[in-house]
Amino acid sequence: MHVDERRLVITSGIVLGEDLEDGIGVRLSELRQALSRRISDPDAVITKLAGEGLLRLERVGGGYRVIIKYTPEVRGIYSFIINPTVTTDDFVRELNNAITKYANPATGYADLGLVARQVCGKLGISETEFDQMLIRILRANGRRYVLSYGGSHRIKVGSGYYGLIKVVS
Amino acid sequence: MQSRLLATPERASTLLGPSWRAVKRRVLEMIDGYQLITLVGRAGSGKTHMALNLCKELKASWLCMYLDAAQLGDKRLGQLISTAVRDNEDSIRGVMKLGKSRKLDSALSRFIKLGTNELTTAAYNYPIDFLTMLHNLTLAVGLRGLVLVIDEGALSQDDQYIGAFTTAIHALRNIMPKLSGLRLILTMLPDVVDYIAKNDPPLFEILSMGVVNLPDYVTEEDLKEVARAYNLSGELIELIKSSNLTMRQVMCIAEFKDLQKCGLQSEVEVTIT
Repeated sequence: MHVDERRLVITSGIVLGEDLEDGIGVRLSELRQALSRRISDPDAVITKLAGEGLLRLERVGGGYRVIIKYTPEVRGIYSFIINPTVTTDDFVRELNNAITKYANPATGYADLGLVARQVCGKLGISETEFDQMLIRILRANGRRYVLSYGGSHRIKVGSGYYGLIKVVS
Repeated sequence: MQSRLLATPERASTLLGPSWRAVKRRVLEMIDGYQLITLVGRAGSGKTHMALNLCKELKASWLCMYLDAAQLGDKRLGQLISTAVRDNEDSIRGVMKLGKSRKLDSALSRFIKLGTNELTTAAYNYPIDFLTMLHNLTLAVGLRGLVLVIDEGALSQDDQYIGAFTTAIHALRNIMPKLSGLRLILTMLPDVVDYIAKNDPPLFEILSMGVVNLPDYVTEEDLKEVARAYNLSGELIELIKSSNLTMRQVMCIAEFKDLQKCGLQSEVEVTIT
């Protein structure tokens, strides 16, 4: 069976490692041992992925530690394996941050497509989950947000197709 | 039935809601210093109503020409200006009549004698020269200047004529330094502003200085006035309060008292990408 080496490294790291501020930390010796059961040259793969910027090596005591960065890809796999529950508070916080980041300075409206991409990356959720949570938030909190036509990712609320979103101040 | 929700000059003489009157005051304050003012708001936020209301008010001291550009397939400047002339012929004739009792230079004296066909043809073929003459005439007869209101120049970010429209706005912007009494009031949806921000940054920079946002939704204070004017029941008032409705949605509920018809009740909410 062909093994996706990149995915194997990330998955092993998530299972064996611990969560740090900027990534997942795992002892090099442990990771190497786990990888060697499926691939022949774990060190070459680790060096290659370090070269691509996915991970970096740190000296810890007498050995090394691998830090796998929290990229959207890593977060996606993380949430698939560990399946952490995204709370409404987390979602609202990330949603508001993303709207602020992408809001057009003249109108205050942000493209829902860009907002969704950022929130999904941060929380490791799929676009479908994003839409479901957003619609739930809009129903529960009808006065926090306003929607408008346009944008690159549209949701249907009531009888309108909306793709721009704004936070009501 | 739908016509009861459309903005008309007659209906636009009333402006319900303190939030909307605040926007009007803001635009009237800006009219001295800003040559390009853009009214931005989502569909149903009252842009057309506001534009008509403003034009009516401004007519006391300006020549105000209102143009509904949604009706046009061609959005080049000549087409915009000639249609504006056709749609506002009475107001233009009124100003020309004032000119007859004034001492005008020879060019303006000839200008005020033009017939309707000559006016629209001149506007179509030489829009910049035409606007210059009309502008100069308004000043010569003692008015403060010429206000051109272009409503719905682009219907959405995907409007196929949006490029022609932004080109026309560029041309108008370029003559503004020469025509101190020319004012341009545009209405725009947020997605059209987004389009301009992404595709025409020089225009966006100029435009965004004069943006006035219409209220995104009807506040409780606004709702009080609508409720009084339309005799709304307590139940409808509570329902309107629970979400951020546009003025058009609120007017729809007030007129028809039917949520389904006003697009506010739907069983399924799905994603369209």
